[in-house]
Amino acid sequence: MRVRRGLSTVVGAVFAIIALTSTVTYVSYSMGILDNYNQSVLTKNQQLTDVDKEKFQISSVTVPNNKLNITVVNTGNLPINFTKIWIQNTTTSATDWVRSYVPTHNFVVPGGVLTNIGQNSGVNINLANSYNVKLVTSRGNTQQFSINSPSSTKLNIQLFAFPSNVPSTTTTELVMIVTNNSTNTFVNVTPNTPTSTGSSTFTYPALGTSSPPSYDTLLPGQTILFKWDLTPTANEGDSRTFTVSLKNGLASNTASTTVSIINLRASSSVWTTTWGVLSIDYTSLQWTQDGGTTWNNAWSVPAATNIVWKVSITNNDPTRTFILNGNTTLIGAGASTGAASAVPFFIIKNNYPTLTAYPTNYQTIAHGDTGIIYFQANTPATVTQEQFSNAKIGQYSVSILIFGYWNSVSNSNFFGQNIPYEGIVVH
Amino acid sequence: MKRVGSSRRGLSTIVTAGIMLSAVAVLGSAVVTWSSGNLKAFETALSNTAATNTNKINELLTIENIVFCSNCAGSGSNKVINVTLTNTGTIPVKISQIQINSTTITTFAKGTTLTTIMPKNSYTIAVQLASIWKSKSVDIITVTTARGSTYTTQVAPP
Repeated sequence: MRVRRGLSTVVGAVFAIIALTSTVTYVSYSMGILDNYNQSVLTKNQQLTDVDKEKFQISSVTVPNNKLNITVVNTGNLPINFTKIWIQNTTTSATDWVRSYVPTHNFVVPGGVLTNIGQNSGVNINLANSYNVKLVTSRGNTQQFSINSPSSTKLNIQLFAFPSNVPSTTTTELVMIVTNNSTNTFVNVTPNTPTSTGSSTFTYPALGTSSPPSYDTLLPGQTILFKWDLTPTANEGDSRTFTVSLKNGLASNTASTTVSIINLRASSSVWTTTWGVLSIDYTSLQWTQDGGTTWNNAWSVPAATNIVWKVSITNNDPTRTFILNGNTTLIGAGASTGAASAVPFFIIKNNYPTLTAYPTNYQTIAHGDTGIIYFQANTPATVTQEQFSNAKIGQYSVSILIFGYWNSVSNSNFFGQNIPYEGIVVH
Repeated sequence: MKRVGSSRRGLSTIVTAGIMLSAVAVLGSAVVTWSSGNLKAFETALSNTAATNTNKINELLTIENIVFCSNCAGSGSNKVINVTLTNTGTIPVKISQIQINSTTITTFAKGTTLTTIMPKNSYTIAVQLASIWKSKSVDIITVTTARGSTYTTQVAPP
């Protein structure tokens, strides 16, 4: 039996095939378009990522032979191609002076250093002028720095005087500290000579050029330092305020400090506190005539009895230890008729009331510390006791002669000092 | 007398089948033609949209440098800003509009104009303002391309 399909089935099949073919074609085409679009998005995303990953730092800029010499470090992960350098003269008198050129040295690998950028350019740099320079990479990133002109950015400037209080004709130092807290790099940073206002009787030689006169490069985050020696001649209490600024800097970008004049007085207390050596607490000077049972600080001292003295000595030196020598003496100098011309009491070992002869160099006082020293012997390095005899009754001024060394016993470490005076009456 | 093994359709059946076949063929062809046209139109629209968007994505412009010109439009008149644009993408970019602080610039100095920048090339447009630029103010410069991309930067005149 023969099976025959109807014509309608055939026609339906044809239409179905046409519809399916069209749909598949359309979907395939759409997928192709979407794929292209997706690729474009990915490519653009990669480009933007590369732009973000591209990082470089200007490590130094100099201007030898009036040509820029820029050194750049590639701190990113991608090679960098510098496509252009823009240079604009920002000096006030310059009008529309802008140059751009393509550098010859222009390619640097990640981690690499590219030097001599700008040396091939036809652009001459006049260091009397100020410039803004911009480096442009092939990905469109830029980095800008200023030459000779912090005029666009306020830098952190501080000025100090070390010390700020000085005696007349003594040299102090003005120190200018400049910190670049911007993201720009500055080239040829030069300070102006400090100006001052204040007492008219405060005079000083011209400060002149700083030391150093300038810095070639001031990178972001970097701090540089300039200094001037200042030797004022003035009266006590005079002062002047010094102000510094940078050449071509912002007018308001200044820093100031005041230098005042003080006079040092030649009194013992001022000397000891000013010069940082040995000082005594006068109330600590005491004497005993009963083996240390009773210590007296009365100025009335009985004659004809052996005496032991003690006193507290402070080492004001900031760093050094003082070593007392056996020549250290408390000496009573006669100040009235009948008194002896001088009665010495030499140092003994500081284990009193045990009487021990003092070794040549023994007792030490660390810097900043106070030590008690004892005097008793009538000759160095003995325990032969001294006293004021009845024949020596009278008034005495007592002073202490200190001999010793700083840190170690050495010819280069000698130190001697006389600490005056305390009055006693021997009766 | 009846014939054995022979069947005969009526004429009406044949005519009806013919009419139905013709109708199906005509209607089917019409639907197929209509669908095909629509699909073609969709394909074209899709293709255009995709091309436009892809080109827009591939467009990459950099505002490379801005110079505030003091003497470009006559002595002492601070009315011109030189805007240097660089095409860092892979397809040409046509600049269609430049705005300074949302004001569309229509006048350009030194013979410059809104133009097409080829890939890896730069072009400096001397934008002329209606009034002089003001020192230390913040200006927003917006560049728009023919494809609708916008690029913005902020600058401060010296």
